[in-house]
Formats: sequence, C-alpha cells, structure tokens
Amino acid sequence: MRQMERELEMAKRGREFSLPLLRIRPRVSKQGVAALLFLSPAALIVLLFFVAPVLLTFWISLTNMSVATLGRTELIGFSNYLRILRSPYTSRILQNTLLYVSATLTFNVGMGLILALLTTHIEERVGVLFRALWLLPRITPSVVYALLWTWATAPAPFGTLNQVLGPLGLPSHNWLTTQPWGVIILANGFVGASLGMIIFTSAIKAIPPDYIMAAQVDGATTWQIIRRIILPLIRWPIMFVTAYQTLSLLASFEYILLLTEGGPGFYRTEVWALYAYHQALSNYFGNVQFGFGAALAAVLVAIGVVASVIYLRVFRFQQMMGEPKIEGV
Amino acid sequence: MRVSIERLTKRFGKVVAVQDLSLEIMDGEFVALLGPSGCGKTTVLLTVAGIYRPTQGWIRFDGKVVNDLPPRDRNIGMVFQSYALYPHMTVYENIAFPLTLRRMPRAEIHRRVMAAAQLLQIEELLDRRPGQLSGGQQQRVALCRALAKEPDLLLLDEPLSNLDARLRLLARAEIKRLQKELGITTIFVTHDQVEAMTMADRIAVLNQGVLQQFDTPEALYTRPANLFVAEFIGSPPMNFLEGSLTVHGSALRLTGPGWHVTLPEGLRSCAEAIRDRDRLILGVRPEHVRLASPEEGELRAEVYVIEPLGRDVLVNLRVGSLRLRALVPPSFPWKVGDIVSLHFDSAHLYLFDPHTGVLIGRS
Repeated sequence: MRQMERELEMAKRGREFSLPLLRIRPRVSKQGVAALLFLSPAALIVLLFFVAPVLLTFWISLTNMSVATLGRTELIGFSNYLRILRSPYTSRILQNTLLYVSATLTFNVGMGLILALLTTHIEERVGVLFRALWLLPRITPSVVYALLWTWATAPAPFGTLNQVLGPLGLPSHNWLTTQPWGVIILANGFVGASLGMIIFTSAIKAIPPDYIMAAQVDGATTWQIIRRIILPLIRWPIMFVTAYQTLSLLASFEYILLLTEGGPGFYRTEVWALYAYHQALSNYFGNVQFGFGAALAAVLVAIGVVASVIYLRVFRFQQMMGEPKIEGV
Repeated sequence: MRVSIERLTKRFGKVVAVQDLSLEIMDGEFVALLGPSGCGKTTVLLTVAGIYRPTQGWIRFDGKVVNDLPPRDRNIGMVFQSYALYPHMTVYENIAFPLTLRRMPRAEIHRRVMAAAQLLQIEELLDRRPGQLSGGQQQRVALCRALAKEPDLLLLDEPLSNLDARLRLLARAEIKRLQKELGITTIFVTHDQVEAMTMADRIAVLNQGVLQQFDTPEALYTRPANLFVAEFIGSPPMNFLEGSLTVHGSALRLTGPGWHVTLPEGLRSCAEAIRDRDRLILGVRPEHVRLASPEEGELRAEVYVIEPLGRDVLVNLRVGSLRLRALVPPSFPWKVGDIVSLHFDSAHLYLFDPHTGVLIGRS
C-alpha cells in the first residue's frame, strides 16, 4: 500500500517536473544557438590570433626546429625547457627582467600619477596642452624615439645630456655604457607614463567637485586632499594600470633592442622577451633556434598567466567589474 | 559669529555671478539666500566658504576681513546639495575626517563624533558606507559631519532638495530647531520660497546676481520691494494687472483692454503722486481676491480652471487676455465657464512701476 502511494506520488511529481522542462528545453537551446552565433566572430578572432599562436608556440617548443634542422624537425620532448633550467644565463636574464619590469613599472605608474595630479591642479588649458605634449612619444615611431634617446645620451662631445652637463662642470659620460639600465628605464617610463596619465586624469576628473570642496572646507590641505580623497577614489584605475603595465612590460623589449641590444657586454640588459627574440629570430651568424626560442616564449606566457591570476586575486577585479567605485552625486 | 558681505562682486570670465552684494548677518542668525537657479546664491555661499575668491568686495567674520583666508582656516561647517559624503569612508570616518585633520586626540574625536551622532540620531549608521544609506540618512550624516567640528558658521546648500516631500517637511523643522538650539550662525541656500519662509530669520532674495531685498519673511510677504520679490514670495504668486491710469470724477481708475479697476482710497495718494506716469501695475495676492455674482462688481471674469486644494480652492480666472488666480473657501458655488465679479481686498493692494518694477506704494 505504502509502496503504491509512493509510486503514485513520484509519478505525479515526475509529471509536474517533466512538463515544464520539456517546454523550456527547446527555448534554452535556441537561445544557446543565438548566443553562439553572436559570440562566434569574436571567438574566432581569439582562437585564430591568440589561442592558436600559443598552441603553435608550445608545439614548436617541443621540437628541435632551427635553421639548421629545417625540413627534418623532430619532436624532442621537454629538452628545450630542461635547457632553460640548466642554462647559466637563465638566472641573470630573470634578474634583468625583474629589475626592468619592477623599476619601469614604478616609474611608469608613479610618473603617470604625478602628471595626472599636476595637470589637473593647474589651469585647464595648460594642463591639456601639457598632456598632449606628453603623448608625443606615443605617436612617434619607436625607432625614432629610441634614436632621440641615443642622441641625447651619446658620448661626449656629442649628446645633448653631456653638452648640458659640461658647462655645469659635471663629468660627461657615455651614458648607454655606464648607465644602460637608467637610460632604458627612463626611455620606457616616459613613454609608458602617458597611459597612466590619461587614465588617472579622466578618473580624477570624474570625481565630483563637491568632494574636493567638502574636504577643503573640512580643513584639508592640497596634499591631504590628494592622499585621503583623490588617491582612494582612483584606487581601481591605479590597480588596473599597474596590472596592465606589468603584463605589457613583461613582453616588451623593443626599446632595449634599439638602445642597447641587450648589452653593453654580455647580457647586461637582456630581458626574457629579448632573449627569446634573440634565440628564435636574431641569433649570431643566423644560428636561429626556433624551438628553444619558442620554449622561452612559452615560459613568458606562463609567467604572464600566473601574474594575471595573482593580480585578479589581489586586486579583486571581479569586485571592480561588479559595481562602479566612483559614485556619482 | 557675525558675517558681513560688503559690496561683493564675483565674476567668472565675463559672466557676472554676483554683483555688488551687501549683507550683514548677525551672530546666531539663520539667513536664507533665495532665488531661482543661476541667481548666484551658491556662488555667494562658496565665496563665504573660501572656495571662491571675491572679484571685488570683502567678506568679514566678526569684523575681520577673511578674503585671503583659506577654507580650512575658517572653521565652517558645510552641507552640500549632493551631501558630498566621501564614498570610501564609513559614516564614522566621514564625521571624524575634519577632526582628524586637526590632529585632535583620538578620544576627543570619538567623544565629538558620538555626541554629534546622538544629536542627529544616526548612531546605528556609523559603520555603514554612504552608498548604503538612504537620502534622508545621508542628509543627516552630512549635517552631522558639519556640526561635529563645532563650526562658527554653518553653510547649507540646498540640503533638502534631494529629499522626498514628507522627509523634507520633517527635516525642515528639525534643522530649524537644531539651529536655534545650537545658536550657530547659518546661511542657507534654497530656490524654494516655502523653505526659506518657514526656516529663516531673514531672507535675501537674489535675482541674476543682484540682491532684490533682504528682510524678514513677513516683511517680504507684506512689503515686497519689487515685482520680482512680489512674484517669487508667496504661493500661488501675486496677480498683476497692468493698465493705464484714468480719472473719472473724483475716482482714479486703472484701465486695461476690456477691464477697469477703481483704486481704493488707500492707494489714491500714491497713485496721484505718480499721475504723470501713464502706466501702472496693480498687484493683488490670490488670497485677497473675493468672488461674487457678476452683477455686484465692476471687474468681471470667466471661471477658467478650478483646482481644489482641500482647505481652499484655487480658481483660475480669465479677464480678457489676463489670467488671474483667486484662493477662495471650498464652499464656492460656481463652475467652469461661469461669469463672476472680482473684489480685491482694499487693504492689500500694491502698485508697481512697470518700467523699473519697483514698488510705488501699497494700501
């Protein structure tokens, strides 16, 4: 008797549940198809230009592909990765990369912040002009920009820097040889700062002026307003620029290539991305090793992914995407 | 603290926001700056706060010129229209912010924050962030932040305009009571004449940066200095009839297209004094218009729209091309389209100069 009741109950329930399900299912799948259709162009681009190259790179990194072995390329497993681990240069290049990324990043974000604060605290028109000027290097071809730095830092009696320092009684230097890191970090940082400058400027301008006026009336000095009102309110843009710049600096090498080519001397300013480029595409006597270079690039991708995940966690990007942090009036 | 505004002019480029404004605000007084939007009232407030510098003229606190004193040295409490609560701080931190800037001991800050929070009954909100508060709560917090620093002068910029009608009524009474209890000199900016009338000791009416009148609410109502004040103060606004002055035997009449009004005894003296002027504007408030059957009076009108207000009825009337309003008891027998006669209370009539707008006289 009980058994029957239960079965009846279950049958009833089954009918109740199955009917709506049947009715809903086709609609869901139709929506799914539409969603896929709309997503497909973007998905295709991502697959073709982002995912496929990474997979290709990884595949090449498992081979001994080089100029010498072209046509008889063989899979050699993880030998290239083992070579990276055993290489005496790896730690040096890793240190260089760390120095380059962290120093340039600090200069970059700090300078962007200072520029944004300065140009929003002076007269509007002057500020706009100043920011426009600061953007010039960005729209200048990298080669031209690097050449300007090469000229400015050229050894005495040439070089703008030396010509200015000479009359002041200061010793002249062959700056690219004596201070290669300084020149690289400044050259990179001055270009890079413009991104932060623009993002921070718009964030500062988005702060309702009432907050600033209220803080003034409340007794804050300009410095206190910056530290206690403006900086906390533009915290998210600062984090975004920091994360974005870290990733782009990890992969960038063109100014180093143009200024020092990794020198002076042996790997003095060689960073990971430049090392990969050198091994894979521009090695001595055309001894280019695609396989080894690809392995180096794959490691860089892995570092980038790890850094992204850390940033996503530390800065709680999800929370940032969730709701606007600068609340309007 | 006594606040003197002397011949203040503030220009932004070519735009004159405030022109030659002089106000003397007594210690402990509650003064409203009243005017339509864009009349320069907020500019005056921000200049008193020290955010703007006067282009010309002086601001004095207790007789001392403070034109060059930065806002932080003025000991002012200010409530903004947007409340301007710092979104990244809790309510407690917001209220404590001005105090921490003064490097006050932590215990003293706590004491003051708690006392102010108790005064405004927001103790249970202290851990929240501004984003988690309702408009009314934000308003209280903003007021609390302004009061916790024990200011010499309180500036309120449209603090009620973001509240709903019911809350506004409550807050109005509360702010007025608080101001009297604490005795802080207060300047209050509003575009709402009811707010100004109900709360302020004196009202400065501004229009296009120029002071129109500075007086008590009663005086503004009974003796408006010009057409602007007469129309701005009082709800519904005063009726105006523009016409030319004509003599009929011993009587003086104001005549317009299709109507005429005989001026009462009380107005005749001043009307005679300006007899050479061809045109005049007669002003009468809706509450001083009485309706009667058409055969009783000289000024006849058509009932155009009837708006019941509960306690009274607001009747819109048409006299030729003129539109007039009358506030009458609800027991009135006419309906739309009826012809009635209008009777003006002869003790409450005003005459204005149509060219300058200035009040010539009142009965």
